[in-house]
Amino acid sequence: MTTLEQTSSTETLAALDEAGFVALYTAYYPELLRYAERFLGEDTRAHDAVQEAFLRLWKRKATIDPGRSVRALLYKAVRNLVFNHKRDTQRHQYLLDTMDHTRSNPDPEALAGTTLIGEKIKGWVQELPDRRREAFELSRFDGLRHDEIATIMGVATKTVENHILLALKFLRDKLNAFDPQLLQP
Amino acid sequence: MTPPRPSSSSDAAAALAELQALLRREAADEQEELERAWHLAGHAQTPPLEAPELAEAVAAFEKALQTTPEQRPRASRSPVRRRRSFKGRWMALATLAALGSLLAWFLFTPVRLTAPAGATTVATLTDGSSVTLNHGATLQYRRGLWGRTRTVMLTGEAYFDVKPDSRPFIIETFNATVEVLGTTFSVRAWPEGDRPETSLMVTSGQVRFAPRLAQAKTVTLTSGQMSRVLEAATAPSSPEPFNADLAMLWLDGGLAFIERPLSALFVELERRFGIAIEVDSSMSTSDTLTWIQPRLQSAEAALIDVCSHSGCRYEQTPTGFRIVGASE
Repeated sequence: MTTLEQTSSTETLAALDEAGFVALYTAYYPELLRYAERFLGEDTRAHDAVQEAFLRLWKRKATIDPGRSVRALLYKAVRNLVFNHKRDTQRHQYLLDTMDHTRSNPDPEALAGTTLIGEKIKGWVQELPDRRREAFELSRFDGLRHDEIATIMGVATKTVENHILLALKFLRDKLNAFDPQLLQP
Repeated sequence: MTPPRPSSSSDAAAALAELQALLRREAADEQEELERAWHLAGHAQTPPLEAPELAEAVAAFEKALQTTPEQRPRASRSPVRRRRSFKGRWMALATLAALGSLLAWFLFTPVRLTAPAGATTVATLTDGSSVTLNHGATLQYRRGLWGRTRTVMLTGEAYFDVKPDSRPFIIETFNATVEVLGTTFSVRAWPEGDRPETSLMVTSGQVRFAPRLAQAKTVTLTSGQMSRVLEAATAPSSPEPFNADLAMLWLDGGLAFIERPLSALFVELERRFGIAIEVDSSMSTSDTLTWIQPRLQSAEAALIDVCSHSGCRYEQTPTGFRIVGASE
């Protein structure tokens, strides 16, 4: 746990060598890819965005202000890359191949391991407004702190907390309507 | 150092603690419900990445890392510089590729300017010269080929204001070549119609005029002179004076129609207003006519005037008008 604690803040980032960065990459790649894929769907560009975020951090590691969350920095970099990319492809659609970001249908193999209620909740989460959904997913699925989410999304911590609370109330109402037994102790 | 690993169980515990703090503001029974909803939402968690996929991604990253130099810290870095360094390589490459194809497109795709029926179009070319295209006229050129000459292709009628430049400005029409160095003039070159000719009317400066297939047979026109090329290999007509007010009347929305057959006037009106004019067999259109209008308001107004003069009637059709002889 101490090693995670050490690299979770930018203090020790400058001291990391290449092997250290590969370790950092190994630790955070899966969740960052999952995050990028929430915007882009299953797409090699999601992988590209994550790798680029790490390479940027590598290049700048000596100049980053100390005391910041590495994880939040990485999420924020991925988010910027994904958003820039989406913006640019929308603008230059005539120059590039078609870049439709419609989500691919869930892979049946992946579905086999999940429960029915899990699929239901997934559907309800998709119904949330974009930013509320993002805040909720970062908190519930990625386990990020509220202040980290605020940094990533560029909003106040209070706003993040409101989003999470409203998302949770929305899900509670959906769950109650689906099967009131679910929320009984 | 040992690889840092985020522990999902400790993350989850921390997230729950943070949530519980948030829920303390809610009513007691609601707190419990919302906390259960939070737990249930965990079922919607996407399964983690397969190990082989991760190994592949890590291998790719190791390779990329070797070719990416880390930046040394610099004491006197302005915030602006720092922001710029954040721009990524792949975005830069994509931008470069996009710019490259844009440049190629810019240089080698012919630029095609067409004045729609119903409006004249004023265009400024990259050298600062301006062109006023009469209704339905088309100008084409390739920017990439503007090395030693400025060459454009013209179909129809246009008025040119050419900026002086070391490169001659050349206008190719279907049968003639017009070469200038900086002057104002009008070229009329409709390949179809009763009189397929290129006529050149110079209002200032000097212009060289030649048939396309016999460039040696050049005529030089000066201000106030006009000439015509009838055939692509035949010398232009000898320069003669022309009435600039009438020849340039179209620039102000008017029409000067001098001693030409009625059929040509109908073609002119078709171009000007983007309509179709059918002429009934009962109507002879070979009679010549002189008709000058400082301003053409509408096709119908023109037809009222022309028919009262030439003895015809007109009927409206879905696409324009039909001209019928008055005797019918």
